[in-house]
Amino acid sequence: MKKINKYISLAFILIFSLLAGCDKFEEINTNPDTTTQVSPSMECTNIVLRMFKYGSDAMAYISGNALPKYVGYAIMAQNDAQYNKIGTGDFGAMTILPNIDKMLEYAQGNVMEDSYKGVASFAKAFTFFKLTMAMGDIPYSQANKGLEGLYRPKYDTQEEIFKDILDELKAADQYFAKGVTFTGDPTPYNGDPVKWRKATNAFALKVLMTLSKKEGVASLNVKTRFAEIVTAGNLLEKTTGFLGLNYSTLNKHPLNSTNDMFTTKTVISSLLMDNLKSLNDYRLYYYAEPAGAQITAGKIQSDPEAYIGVDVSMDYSTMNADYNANKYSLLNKRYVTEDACEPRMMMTYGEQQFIISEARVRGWVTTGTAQAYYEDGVKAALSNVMATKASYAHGKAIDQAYINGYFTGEAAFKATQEEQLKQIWMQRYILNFMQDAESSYFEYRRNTYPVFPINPATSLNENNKNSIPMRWLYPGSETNYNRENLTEALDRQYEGYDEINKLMWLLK
Amino acid sequence: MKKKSGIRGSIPPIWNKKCFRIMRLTILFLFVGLMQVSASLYSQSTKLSLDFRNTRVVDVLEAIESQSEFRFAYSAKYIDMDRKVNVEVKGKSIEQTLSVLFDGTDVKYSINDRHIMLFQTDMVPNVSQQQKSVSGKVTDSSGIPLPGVSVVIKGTTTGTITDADGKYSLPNLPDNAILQFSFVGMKKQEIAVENKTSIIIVLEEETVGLEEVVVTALGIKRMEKSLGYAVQKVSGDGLQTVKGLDLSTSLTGKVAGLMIKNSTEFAAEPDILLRGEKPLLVIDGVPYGNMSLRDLPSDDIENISVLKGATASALYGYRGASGAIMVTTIKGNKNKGLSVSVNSGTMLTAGYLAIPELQSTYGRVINTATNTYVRSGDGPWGAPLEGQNIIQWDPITKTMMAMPYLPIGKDNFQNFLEQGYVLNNNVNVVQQGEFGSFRSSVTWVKNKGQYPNSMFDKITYSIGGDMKVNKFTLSSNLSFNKQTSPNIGFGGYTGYDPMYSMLIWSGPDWDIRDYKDYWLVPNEIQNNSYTGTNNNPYFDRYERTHGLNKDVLNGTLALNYDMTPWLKATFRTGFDSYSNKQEIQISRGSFVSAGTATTIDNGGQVWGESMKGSYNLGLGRGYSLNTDFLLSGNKTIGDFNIDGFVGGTIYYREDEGIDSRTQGGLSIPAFYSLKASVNPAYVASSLTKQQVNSLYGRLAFSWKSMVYAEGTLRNDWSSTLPESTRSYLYPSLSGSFVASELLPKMDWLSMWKLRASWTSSKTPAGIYSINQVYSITNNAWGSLSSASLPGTIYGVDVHPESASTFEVGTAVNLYKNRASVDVSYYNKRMYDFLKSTGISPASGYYNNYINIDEEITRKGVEVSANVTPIKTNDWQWDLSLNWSTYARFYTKLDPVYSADKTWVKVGERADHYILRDYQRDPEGNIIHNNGQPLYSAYDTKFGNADPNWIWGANTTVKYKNWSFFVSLDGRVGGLAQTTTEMYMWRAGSHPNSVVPERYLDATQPGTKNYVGNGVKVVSGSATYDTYGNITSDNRVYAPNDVAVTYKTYLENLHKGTAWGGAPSIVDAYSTTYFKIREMSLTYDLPKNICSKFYSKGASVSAVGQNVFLWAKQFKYSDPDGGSENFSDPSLRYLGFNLKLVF
Repeated sequence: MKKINKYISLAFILIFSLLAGCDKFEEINTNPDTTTQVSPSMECTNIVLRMFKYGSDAMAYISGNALPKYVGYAIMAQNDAQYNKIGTGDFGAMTILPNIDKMLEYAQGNVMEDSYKGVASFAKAFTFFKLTMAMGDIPYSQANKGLEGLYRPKYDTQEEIFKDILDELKAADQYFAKGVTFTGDPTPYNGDPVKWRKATNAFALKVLMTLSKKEGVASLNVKTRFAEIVTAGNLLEKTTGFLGLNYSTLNKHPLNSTNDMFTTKTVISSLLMDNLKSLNDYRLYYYAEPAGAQITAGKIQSDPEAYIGVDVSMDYSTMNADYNANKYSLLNKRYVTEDACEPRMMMTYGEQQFIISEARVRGWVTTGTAQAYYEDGVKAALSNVMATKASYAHGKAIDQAYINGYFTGEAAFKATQEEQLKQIWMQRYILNFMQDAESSYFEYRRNTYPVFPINPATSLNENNKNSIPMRWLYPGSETNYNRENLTEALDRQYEGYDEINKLMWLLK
Repeated sequence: MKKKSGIRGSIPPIWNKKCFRIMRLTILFLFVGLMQVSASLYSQSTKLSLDFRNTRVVDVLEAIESQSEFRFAYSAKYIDMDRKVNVEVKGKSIEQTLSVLFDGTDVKYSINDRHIMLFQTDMVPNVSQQQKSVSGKVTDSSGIPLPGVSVVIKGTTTGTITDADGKYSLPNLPDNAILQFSFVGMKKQEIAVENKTSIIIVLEEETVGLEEVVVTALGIKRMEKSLGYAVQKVSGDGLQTVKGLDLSTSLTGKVAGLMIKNSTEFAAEPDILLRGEKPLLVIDGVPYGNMSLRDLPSDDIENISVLKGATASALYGYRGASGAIMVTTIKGNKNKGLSVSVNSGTMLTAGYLAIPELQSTYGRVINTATNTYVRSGDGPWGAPLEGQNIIQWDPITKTMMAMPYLPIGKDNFQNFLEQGYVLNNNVNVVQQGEFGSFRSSVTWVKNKGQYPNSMFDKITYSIGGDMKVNKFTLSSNLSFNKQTSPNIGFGGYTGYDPMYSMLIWSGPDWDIRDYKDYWLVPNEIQNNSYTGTNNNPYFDRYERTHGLNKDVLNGTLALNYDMTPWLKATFRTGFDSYSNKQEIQISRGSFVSAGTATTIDNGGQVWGESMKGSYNLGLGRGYSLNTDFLLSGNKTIGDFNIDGFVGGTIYYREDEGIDSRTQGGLSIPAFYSLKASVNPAYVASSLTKQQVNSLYGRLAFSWKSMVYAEGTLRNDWSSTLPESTRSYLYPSLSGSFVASELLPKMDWLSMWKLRASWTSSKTPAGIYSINQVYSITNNAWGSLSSASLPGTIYGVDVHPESASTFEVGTAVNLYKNRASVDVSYYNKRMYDFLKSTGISPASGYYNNYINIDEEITRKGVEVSANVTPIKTNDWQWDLSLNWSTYARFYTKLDPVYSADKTWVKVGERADHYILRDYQRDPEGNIIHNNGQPLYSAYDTKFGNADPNWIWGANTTVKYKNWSFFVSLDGRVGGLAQTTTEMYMWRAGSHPNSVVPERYLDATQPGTKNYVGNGVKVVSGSATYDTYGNITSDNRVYAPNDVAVTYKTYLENLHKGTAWGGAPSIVDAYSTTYFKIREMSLTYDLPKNICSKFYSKGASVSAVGQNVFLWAKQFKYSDPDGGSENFSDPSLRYLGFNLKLVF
């Protein structure tokens, strides 16, 4: 038995030593390729990119521009957005919120803390603005409480959300005022808090103008807020540059595709084309290619008559047949051939001036003239296009002389307020081509201008064939995981029916 | 008490106290179990109690046999078995009992362990006159000596029993003596002595019925009848005639409950699911971390035991939670000496079971302004091919020129495909000696795929053997595996499969045979009919390649030491390591990228770089180490046998990889190197590690050969869990009852067994899955790096997920094992799911990684049956059938995390197949809007994804030296998207899309001619709640009369994509099919012919694999792979196989 004891002891020594490895488990379960600590600057880069970087593919980019009727899309298959069909929205953008919290946590005590707080407030306002614009009421005050165990947030009303967005932007203005240059900013502002402050205020003006139908709502105080910002004067100037991203060989424009699958099938709408022509606007030559059939017929590329837009509400197969006869102007080639055909501009001086011009027409502000703001805006927009490669302008490059002489004929600022507003809106529409197309759709909802072509015989908006849809549906994540609160929000706004033609508070 | 203090004293000082506390209870349990086993040889330790009055000797012996494992050998001719005796013994040894029985008679006895021979004393002088003797040795098929085998001269009671080394000798044999060798669990053998003086015998395991010995968890061999759970065994012989690329293909349909999905993609490894889950692969007792059945040549397989369900593999802890496939490789030979075997298989592709076709009526769209066909790569939605003159690309002159528009490429795809083959050759050499064996085996498998430049080579070299020295048995194996391919290709729509550019987005208006010269400007521009999207298929196969070079090395060492006659120690360690180099080279001028292909696991993908060229290099490597230590003991007390063991395992694995690729294109055409990167090359690395420590034990009781009970307990400590939940216990209980032992002996009933088992299995979190870490992107914009929180909340206090499996079964053997049936029912309740469960992103996160309260139960039934309807000297017909079914049901929902859907309800199946149906009127007609079908805005359940049941049937007919084998298998039910046909429809390539309306659309551009079958809404509207239920509806319908183009209609009717999401209802197909998987006709050459070329045996076979397919809905592709995404044509293989043994 003694011998057996020895064996058994030996066995247990072995077994125990097997398990002595317990201590090392923490180390084993740590991935050396990841980190639990980062800098506020790296989080800042992430947050800014999540706001401004286009996150999807070229086809989606074209679709985004088809909804506000900039372009039509031939071959492959009928494009839903072109024919007035939109689907579900997405709350995914709200996952930026924990990142904002982390950025602020890491920034605590840092000299750049105020600047990061400015970015944080701006990012929050920017994110919720886009979400509520798309869907209506959304979770706001109870959002971002997952870590606290609140997984089913209630929805706030659009009115409450807008008030908070405006307050956040005001706070951002104050933080940037105190801030110093910060790191981790991928925009051309390169961490300059002065420029960020200006852009923040410009964006606040854009949000406020969105609320023009609600200018009488006391809690929002739209007109006063607008006037205050303009009076304070911390706004974009001609030389400030845009808020957005510069493309490069490393960070390419989403349409810079290696094959010609998407762009050669994108046709320019007659809505855009005809307005550019009537304004004698050379941006036409930067946006489009001459129609093949017109060139074959002997027209030269610098002749506006060589450019033909498509009625994007036209029957899809007819459009295709015409496309195959080279009847229409296609999207300018620079979008596919150039890595950096143009920057991504989310807030520009030009657009800011158009917004103030509209406010001036509406009487929200009293300084300056609507015409001066309008002309400033147009000049700035033309200058931005002038900055792109002239070799794609089909012999009609924009120069300063052209810009100076732009305001004749249709482009001259008109007399009646109604006409002035339409001019301003048209210029904003032209400015946002292949830029912030979503804004142009939102503007259409507000102004019903420019008048989008709608054809009930081709419309895919089955419940209202004579209309452009008014919103996106709520995301599937809500019917799966937050149905009660969703249902409450639907009952409150849309008679319980989640549908794309329903009008949100903002539009009523 | 002395023992205990001794153990305490030996605890190493490095021992961590916290760890100790956690484990103390476990160890105590195991320790008590161990102490139950004490020392004794069977014959010495077994105590018999008998009380018989006036009873025949034969009955007494039977009584002894029934209450012990003793077996008597005698001849009734010489021993008076009907003699009446009085026996009254209590707690006496066998020796004492026998002396009571036979003292004073002429009967002598010899006891060797459990085997007892009875002799008649006066017989010995009778045979001793012959002056002839023989000696030899008896081993089992793996060469291990068998002690205690009875060796008897036929027709006499004279004989002997082999000694501890399996040796025997018999003097004084009569002329024409025939020796009979018998041993429990082994087939009886007879051999004529003739002039031999030495006879070496290999006894084969009894392979029929419940006496079968199977390999169970941790490599322990047990009688099948003693098992409380389902195990099915496949012998290696059956896998060595029809040899394809993968061994697992030959396993298809051979085991009830084992579903093997054989993809038709080139060199794709089959998916293996056991009861719907991925089983653990165990090779020679080692659960390797990086081995797959692909790495095992069929010629090295002795047998495969499939341990179904979690109980059978409970001793493997979480890795065995889904059952295990236990492979035993060949180590030695039946016969002593040197033996060389050659097994050569050759199979050639011979036609297709399923292949997509292309309509040949319409070509590409014509640009009417220039009379040129469109070269950008759209489907053939253009003009009819009627010989009209159209400007087209001429691949010979490499210019555009006017040519008649004709369906010259209607057979493009078949013309592009090449003759494929599988060569599978094995040579192995075995030296079987007295104390061990050595085996060396080389296998070379070469697979030529159907596309150009598709070759896959697999070379396996393995050496192994075993030896026995005194109390040590050592067995070891080392195997090296190399797999290479210049181009494994890119499959699926998202990988731009060759079908993408030949059958979908391409018309029959160009002839592939003219495009073998695929350069216009070498290394820069293709000679191609298309200028976008569709690569020249030859260019695609040679200039857009995914090369593979993978080495796998594995080795094992197992050491057994018989410490005392009752106590055995086993040490076993297994190591595997792999290195895998993969390269993706995309030439400049390619219209498509590498798609979704990656060069390391979870590596990055190449998109959007294709025109400029791209090089992507991935280097992956890793290893796993599994070391076991076991102490096992065995004891019999009276009718009871107790055996058990305690042991421990350390499992450690590490995987790392570097993924790198050029960015911005290649600076020099055809320079495939990271140095060719225009922008800074992208490089990323990964490293994952995991360790699991375990302690376990097993305790089994049996009573007579009738009742068996066993319990196992395993405790794991996993590095992937937080400290508080890191340790978890994994118990199992099982038992079997051989009911036929209680019944009176019946001729037809050989055995009837009932079994039941239960286990509670646990699965810990995945590697790093509890770590809330940032993901860092280098150069996220310009030179800035970004850091982003994961979209998931990682629970810090998660515990392992659990499953409780209950299984009952029965097995019946009839007519001396000529027929048998085995039925199992199991119920696996899965709970505490560790899940990255969806939450509203408004919470700030997409997912929450926690244990949710949802509970899903998998219920299943498996039936297997074997029949031998005919068995004569010349004829034998064997038939075996396997059938199984399972389904997963919700048995409990989590109020927070279960999806709030009508089909997520207790009692509903959890494998729902969800899609968006068309909107329909109350009669079910499709509602149209502007002539096009309208889709519902809400999901509906269309069916289920899992098959309803699967089956397999194998039959062998043998006539003399001929044998004919067929195996069939199939699946019934289950839905899958037909990606191929969906795109064929949408692109206008589908042969059935040639309809009259299309002709009108094509010849009169701008007209619309197709009126969809259904209704349209005339007035009114409907509203819906958030579930999609109609809340109000005043719609009025009229038949749809709005014409659209056929193209637009099809594009709307078939709306799914290969990029995710559900298909339209018309593209969700049933996967029901059956296949003739394998066929072979084998002729074994007679021994006298073999001996002419010095062969011990030879056979020739005509073989076939993937011979015939019938599918319910899939027509142009093979549903065998489970999901269908541009499945390559399903190939029939026919060939021959040659086996030679020297």
